[in-house]
Amino acid sequence: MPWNQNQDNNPWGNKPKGSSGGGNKETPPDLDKVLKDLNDRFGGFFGGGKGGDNGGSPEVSKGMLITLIGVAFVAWLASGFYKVEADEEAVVLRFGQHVDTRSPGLNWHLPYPIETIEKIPTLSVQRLTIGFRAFADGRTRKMNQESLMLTKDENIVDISFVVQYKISDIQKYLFEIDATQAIQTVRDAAESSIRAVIGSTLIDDVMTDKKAEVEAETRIGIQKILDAYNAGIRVTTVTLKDVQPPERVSKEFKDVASAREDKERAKNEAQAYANGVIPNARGEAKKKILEAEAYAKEAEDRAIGEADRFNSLLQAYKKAPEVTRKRLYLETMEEVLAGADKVIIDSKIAGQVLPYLPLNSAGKVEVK
Amino acid sequence: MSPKQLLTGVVIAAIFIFVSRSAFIVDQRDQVLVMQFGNIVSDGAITNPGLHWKLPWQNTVVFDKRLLASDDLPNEVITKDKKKIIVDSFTRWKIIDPLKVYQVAKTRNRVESRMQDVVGAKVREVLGQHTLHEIVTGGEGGDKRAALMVSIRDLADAEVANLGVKVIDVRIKRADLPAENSDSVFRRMKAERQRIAKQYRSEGEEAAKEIRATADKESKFLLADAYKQSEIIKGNADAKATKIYASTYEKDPKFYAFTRSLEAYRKSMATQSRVVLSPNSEFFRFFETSK
Repeated sequence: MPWNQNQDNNPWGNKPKGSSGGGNKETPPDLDKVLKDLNDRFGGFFGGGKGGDNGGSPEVSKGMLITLIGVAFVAWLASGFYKVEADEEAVVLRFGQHVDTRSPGLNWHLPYPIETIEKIPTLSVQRLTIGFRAFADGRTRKMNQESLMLTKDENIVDISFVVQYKISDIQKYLFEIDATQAIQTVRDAAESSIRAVIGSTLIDDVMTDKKAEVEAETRIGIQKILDAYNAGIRVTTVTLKDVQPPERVSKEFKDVASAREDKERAKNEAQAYANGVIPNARGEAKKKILEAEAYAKEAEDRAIGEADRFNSLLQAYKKAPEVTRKRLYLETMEEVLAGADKVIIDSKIAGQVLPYLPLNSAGKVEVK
Repeated sequence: MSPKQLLTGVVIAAIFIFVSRSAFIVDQRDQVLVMQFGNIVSDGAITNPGLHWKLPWQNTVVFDKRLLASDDLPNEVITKDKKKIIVDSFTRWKIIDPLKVYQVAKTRNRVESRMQDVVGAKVREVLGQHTLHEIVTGGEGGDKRAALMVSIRDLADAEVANLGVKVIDVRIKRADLPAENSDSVFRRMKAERQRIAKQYRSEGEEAAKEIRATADKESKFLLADAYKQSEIIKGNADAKATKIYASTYEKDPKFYAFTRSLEAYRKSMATQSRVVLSPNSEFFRFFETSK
């Protein structure tokens, strides 16, 4: 009967029957005998009252006692129920020794002090911020002590990052390290390894294209340390949140960025100029060649035309040379002299008169 | 209540007290010493977890068995190249001989602070033999830093063995310059950035000038080439035309000279010319006489 095993209300009494394992070996050999004696005496205690001369009152107190013990025992058993949340696992310790690991749901363990349980959130991802702290209301606070670090070229860079990790081995997590200092352990490992990584990287690399490498190397570094500690923690990601120059030199760093922009702008402006000048020259060149081609065509066609005309004229001329010659001469002179001012001077006096010809300002000869 | 019942009650109470004072639990994470009147009676520490027994008047002292974290105080270190750095390190350690710990320091806290003193001294000693650059960057190859931490740990561990603890790991968390040195770093960083900015801008100008000059050159090339081609085209045409003229006019050079002269008169004296003529000229052959 259960209450028999528990009648002295000493939980240790359960031990020889209720539990197994290493604890048993430490049980003094005479415990069973002690319990048996106790049982006998206890029976005698109640039994003595039953047949005694005290009338009904011992009967009543005995019944009440049994009920009381029964209720207490049931309450004790009921205290062994516990709930494991969806993201947790529970470790069952029997007299301090790990005997079982339970998954989420409603579970029962042998109540205190035989077994105790510890719930560990093994399934949820924990997040740790380094270089800043985030508060529940969304505010963040910089931690310059943590975030300023020396680079390989002895510059100082300002880095904030986030480490995410999970408990991967509940046994190691609980029994190899001090679980209450797990966060501190991850933080220490993270700070130590990122500074080793940044300490061997140039500031420009950190700030531009080596971020992914820094993240990967840091993650590996943290994991190495945690594994060496048998921490049972797996780092899932390391994310650089902010990589910046320290505040005191940020103006100069910004100027470098704008200088880089200036450089590109100067190049683009020059390119725009080039894009204007070259097509223009190309057009000009094309125009020149086309003009030359036009000139060539014109010159050749003219030559052909004029030659043709001369040929025709020559043929006509050959038929009547004298007349044609005269005609052409007179026609031409007629045409030429028609529009000209004419002064006709006998060649005999020409030598004397010519120097005195009255010339007006327009150069015309005034004949009076 | 009869004396018998009273006696039974007393015995039960005595057994209860005896058992509850004699049983003790050793947690998986702990190691326990059993003491009697200030002396250790257990054969070393009890490390296997479970239920254990002792005599009621004996008491237990519990020490942790796990890897323990200890955050060291920042140390000011003068490096080999006489620079000052603030080194913040942390230590992981274990209690391996609780007996010794109890004898030497009694409690975990006290042994921890003794250990920290040792670690701090070793940090200063080891880092003092290296330059700032080696400590920060890990020297050539980058593994110096790890090696330094290992030697700090080994030196410290050798010295804390008599405390009953073992130093598992010492790690440099931060190695920062003190404020006055940071100032000079910041000044240098500023100067360096100014230099880089200037370089970028000059490079921009250089590139821009080159691009413009190249464009100018290319356009000149284009125009020159076009001029050359156009002259060749014109020359060829002139040559052709000349050939045509020559081959034609050569049939009767005198007549050509005549017609060409007439053409020239017509063109050169087209407008408002002033002509002084002699009546004896060919044109006036019939001017004064009809013969």
